[in-house]
Amino acid sequence: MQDAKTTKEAEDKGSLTALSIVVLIVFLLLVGGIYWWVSKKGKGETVFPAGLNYTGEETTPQAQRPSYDYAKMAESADWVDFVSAQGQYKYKHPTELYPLVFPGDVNDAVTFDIAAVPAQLNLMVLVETISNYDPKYRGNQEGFVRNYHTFFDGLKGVSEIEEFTTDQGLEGWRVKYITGDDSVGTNNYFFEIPGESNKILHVNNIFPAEGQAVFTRLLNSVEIVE
Amino acid sequence: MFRGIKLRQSQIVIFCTSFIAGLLSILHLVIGYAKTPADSIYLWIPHYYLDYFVFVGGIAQGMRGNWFFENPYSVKDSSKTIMAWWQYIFYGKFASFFHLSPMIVYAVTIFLLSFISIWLMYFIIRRILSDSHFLIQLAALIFSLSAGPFFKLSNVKGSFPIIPFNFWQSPATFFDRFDPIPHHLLGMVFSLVLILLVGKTLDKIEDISLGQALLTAVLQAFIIIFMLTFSPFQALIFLIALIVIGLLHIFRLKFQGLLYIFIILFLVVPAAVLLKMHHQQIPMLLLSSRADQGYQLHPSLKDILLTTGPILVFVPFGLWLYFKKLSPTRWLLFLFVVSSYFLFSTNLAYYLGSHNLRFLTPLSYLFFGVLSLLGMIQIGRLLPKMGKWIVFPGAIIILLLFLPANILTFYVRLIDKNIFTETVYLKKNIVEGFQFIDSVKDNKAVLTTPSVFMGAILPIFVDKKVYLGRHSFTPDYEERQTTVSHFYNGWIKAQEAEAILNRNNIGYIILTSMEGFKIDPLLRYPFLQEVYRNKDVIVFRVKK
Repeated sequence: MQDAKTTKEAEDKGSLTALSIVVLIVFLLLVGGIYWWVSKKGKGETVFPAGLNYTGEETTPQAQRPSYDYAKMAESADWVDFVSAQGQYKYKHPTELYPLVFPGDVNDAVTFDIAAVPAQLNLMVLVETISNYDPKYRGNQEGFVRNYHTFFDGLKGVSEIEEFTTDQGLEGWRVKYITGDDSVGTNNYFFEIPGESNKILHVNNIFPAEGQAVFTRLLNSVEIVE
Repeated sequence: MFRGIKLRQSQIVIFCTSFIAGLLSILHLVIGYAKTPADSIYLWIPHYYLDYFVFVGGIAQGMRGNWFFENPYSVKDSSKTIMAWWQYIFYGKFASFFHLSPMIVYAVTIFLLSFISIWLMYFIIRRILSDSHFLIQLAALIFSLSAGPFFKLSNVKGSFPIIPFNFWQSPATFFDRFDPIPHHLLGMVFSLVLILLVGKTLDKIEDISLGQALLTAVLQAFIIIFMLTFSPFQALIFLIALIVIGLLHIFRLKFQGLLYIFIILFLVVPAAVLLKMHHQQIPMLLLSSRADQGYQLHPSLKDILLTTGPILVFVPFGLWLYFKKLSPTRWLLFLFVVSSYFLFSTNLAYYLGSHNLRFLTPLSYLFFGVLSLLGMIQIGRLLPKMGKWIVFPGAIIILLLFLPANILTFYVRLIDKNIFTETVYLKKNIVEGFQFIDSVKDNKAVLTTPSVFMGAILPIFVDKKVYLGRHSFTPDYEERQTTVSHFYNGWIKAQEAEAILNRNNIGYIILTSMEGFKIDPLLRYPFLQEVYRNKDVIVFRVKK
C-alpha cells in the first residue's frame, strides 16, 4: 500500500517536472517572441525638447510638445471622463489632452504635460493628506488652506482667498499665494472630501492664459467618487 | 564530473517557477531594451527613475574603486557611509570584474535576488508544510507569488475597466512584492534566511551544546546587524518577532535557548544604536529621511483587507491547522507578519526617520499562501464528500481573481512616465560628452541644467560631483534650480556667475540637446572655454 502511494507520488512529480520544463521553454520562447515583435514594431524616441544641436551643420529632429487649440477644445463636445488611479475623484477633459498619472503615487495625482516644467513638478489635481503637513489641521480644512504656504519655502503668504463652489456642488476655497519673489501665483482650489477629515482635494490651475476656458470647464466637472 | 549532483524533481519544478517569476520581474526592461532607438543607449530604468539613478550610481562608484557610498549630488557633502546603499558598491566590484555596465548589473541583480527569494520562500513552505504533498507546497508558493487585490469594475469611458483596491507602497501584486529594487529584494532574502536559520536553531536548541548556541547566536547576530545597514525596518520586524518568541517561551527554554536569544539581542541592540548615530551624521541620509517622513499613511482596516485581496478567503479555515502544530518556524513567520502590521500601524517609523509603509512586509503573502492551503485541507477534512467541490472551484476562481490587478500593474509599468521617462534612451553623443568630462582627472564639479534631471544621470558616467542633482540629495534644491536656470539663460552678471562657479568648485558646464536651453548665453561668458562639442552636447571648462 505504502509502495503504491510512493510510486504514485513519484509519477506525479515526474509529470509535474516535465510540465514545468515545458512551461519554462514556452515562457522563454514567448519572451523572445515579445522581444522580436517589439523591436520590429517600432523604436522608442529620444526626446529633444528644443531640437538644438551644437555642430551647426544640421538640425536635429525634434519631438515638440503639441500646440493646443484651447479655444476649440473649450467648445468641443468630445470630452471624456477620467477617473483617478485610486478612484478617489473624476473629471472630464478634452480628448486631445492625455492625463499623466503617477502609478502608486501617495497623492493620487494627475496632470497634463502642457507647461515648460517637468510634469512631476506641475501637478494639477491631487488628494492631500493634511496630517502629513501638520496634524493639528486634521478636520480644519480651512485652517490648512489658509496656512498651506507655511509648508513650502517658495511661498510667503496668502494674497486672496474666497469660498468657492463648483457647478457639481463641490465646496471649498479658491486661493492665491504669494511666492518667494513677491509675485502672486495662479489660482489653487481646495475642496472638502465628505467623510474624510484628514484629506482635501487640491486642484491647481496649470493652464496658460489662453487655456483658461478649458480649465474652468474641467474644474466644474470635478467630482468626488463615492 | 557531475557525480553527486542530483537535482530532485521537485527542485527542477521550483527552479522553473523561480526562473519564470524572476524574468517576469524584469520583463519590462527586456521590452524597453527592444525599443532602443539607433544611436541611443537604453538606461534600463526598472522603477522610479530618480531613485534608480542614485542606486545605479552606487554601482558606478564601486566600479571606480570606491569602498564607501558617497553623495554625488552635493558638492559640499564629502561624507561616506556603509548605510542604506552600500551594497551597490559591492555590485560595482562584480560589474568591474565581469566588465559589465552598471545598468546591466542592476537588472541582473534584480533577476537573481527575485530568483533566490522564491527558492527561500519554497524552503520555508516546505518546512512549515512538511507533512504535505509537494503539490500542496507548490500551490502555496503559487498563491503567495500571484496574489492580487480585490478590484471594482469601472464603466467610465476612457479609464481602465478595473480599479484595484490599493494604497501607496502596498505589496498588493506580484510586481509590487518583487519590487525591482535590489536592496529591497535583498532585505526580503535576509528576512527569509533569518526565519529559516533561527527557526532551525530554535527547533534543536535543547540538543545543542552551550558553545554551539553561543557561536550560532553570534553568527546570526552579525547577519541581523548587516541587515540593519540596508533594511533596518525589516530587521526591526524580525527582532520584535524574536523578542516575543523569547518571552512566550521564557519558562520552557533551557539555559542555552535563553542565552542564544540574549546574545543576539546583546550584540544587535547596541549595534543598532551605533548605526543610528552614524546615520545622523550623514547629510544625504538625513535629507532622504526628511523626505520620507512626509509620507505617513494609515489606511483603514477595510482598505487593508481589500488590498490584500482574495487570498484571504481560505485563510480563516487554515488557522486551526497552522496553530495546532506550532514549530519555531511557524511561530517566527506568524510573529514576523504580526510585527509587520503592528509596526506599520504605529508612528514609530516617523521617529526613526522614514514612512510607516517601510514596515509592511511582502512576506505576509507567504503566510497567507500557507494558511490558504491549510484552509483548503481543513475544508476537505470537515466536508469529506462536498469539500473538493468547494475547494477546487474556489481555488481556481481565486487564482483568476488575482490576474486582473497583476496584468494591470505590469501594463502600467510599461507606460509609467516615471520609468519610461524622457531620458530612458540617451543619445550616444551625449554619453560621449560625459565620457570626455570623465577623462579629465581632477576634483572639479559639473554644472547641468535643471531640465530632465540631467544632473541625476551624469554621475553614473562621470566620476565627478554635480551642483544640481535631485531633490532630497542636493541641499536647497529649489533655490539652486532657480540660480542655475538664471545662469544658463544669461540672466545674471558675468562676475556673479563666475563667483557662483568658484564658490562651489564647479569646473565644467555641460549642455545637451535634450534640455531645451540655448547655447548663446554660455558663449557670452568670458570665463568659459569650450573644450568639447558634438552634435548633441557641448562642454565648457571654467578658465583658471
